Amino acid sequence: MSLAGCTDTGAGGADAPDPYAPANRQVHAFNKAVDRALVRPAAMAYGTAVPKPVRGGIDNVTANLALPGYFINHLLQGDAASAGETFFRFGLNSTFGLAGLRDPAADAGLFTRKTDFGETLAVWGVRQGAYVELPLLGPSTERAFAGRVVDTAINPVSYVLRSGDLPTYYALNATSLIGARYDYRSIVDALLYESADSYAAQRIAYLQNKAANLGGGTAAEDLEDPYAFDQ
Amino acid sequence: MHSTNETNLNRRALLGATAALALIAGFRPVAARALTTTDAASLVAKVTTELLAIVNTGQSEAQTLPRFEAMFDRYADVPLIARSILGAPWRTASDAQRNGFVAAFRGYLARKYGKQFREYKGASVEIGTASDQGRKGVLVKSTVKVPGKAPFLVEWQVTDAGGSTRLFNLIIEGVSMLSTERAEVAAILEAQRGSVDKLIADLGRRG
Repeated sequence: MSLAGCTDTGAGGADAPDPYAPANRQVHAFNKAVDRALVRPAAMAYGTAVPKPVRGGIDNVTANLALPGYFINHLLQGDAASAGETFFRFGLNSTFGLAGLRDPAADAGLFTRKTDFGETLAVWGVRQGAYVELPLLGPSTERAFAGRVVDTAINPVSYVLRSGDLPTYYALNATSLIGARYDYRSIVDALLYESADSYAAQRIAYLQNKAANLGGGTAAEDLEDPYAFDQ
Repeated sequence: MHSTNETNLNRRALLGATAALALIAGFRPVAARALTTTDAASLVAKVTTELLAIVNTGQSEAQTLPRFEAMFDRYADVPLIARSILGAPWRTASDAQRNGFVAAFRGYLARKYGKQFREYKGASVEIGTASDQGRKGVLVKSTVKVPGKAPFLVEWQVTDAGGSTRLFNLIIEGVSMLSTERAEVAAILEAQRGSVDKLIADLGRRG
């Protein structure tokens, strides 16, 4: 995917053009079918069968192993404060948190500052590009997808772990994702199965949430004008 | 004579100017009482306190629902939100349809968002900055802390466009209620082939 080919009105922005809407809607129908047949049932079984402390431990370990990647991206974005916080969080949880099984950093008020290479590209001024819904991976944009590819390639954990441990690492990540589908089931179920147009609802939620994460909240130009309808 | 005429003219001009001033002065109290960031922040503080009180009672969904609906009525400018969401069809709708839509939309909002608020049991809310956005009103930031979870951002857009200080939009982690519900209503309207009456009936079954 060529980044130069991206067309957009701005680097951030709570909306993105949707020239691939027909294809995206087909992928959305596929993703929904996969969720209905496999992901949701697996999540419900996992959430019911595995006690919360165990699930929480798995979530903590995978969240902790995601931190080196966040750290690199915070640095690439020139955000020393977030990089520092991520560094201390990783140090604290990897040692006193028993390799990330527990989360003493959160008790100390050090929460994860998630980021990725897609956000790094945004900080560097790369435009968001078109909205795309990816098979199995879900909502994305051309920029976010490019970022995902780079994040996978530069993930420090995949270089540090012995190759024999990699399948366990990926299995833990997949398990944590299934757990997230369980933890957020009421929001996800409402979005996917109760919306009149779940494609549009998911698209809006994804793009606006991304923009707010980047900008630290809703940008003034993205606010609606209460007088607009009177004119 | 000449000078009297001139004086009369001047007097008339003066009277005109005075009348204009009086007119402006007549509008002044409204302008002076325009929405302030303090008003907006205290409205949001009141709303969040009441919301948390409702979700922490441990009452059933059926019991809390009418309370959420009453809150939307009291603190949000539901008619303003409703017509902004319906858009063009509002202009051609009859009075009965408009009233029907506002009522159905209010119930739908209370059910849908009430269900979401119920997830915030045991949460605390910290009111952050309130920023003046000109004709767009005031944006109040708040951080919701649910035990055991990372804190998240809820923004409240407050306006006096409808004549009193009310909520206009609720933005959870960047996701705007207005955009989300506008897309929903547009999708339902399309599925109902543009019939506002069928949209009203459909909304009554949702949320």
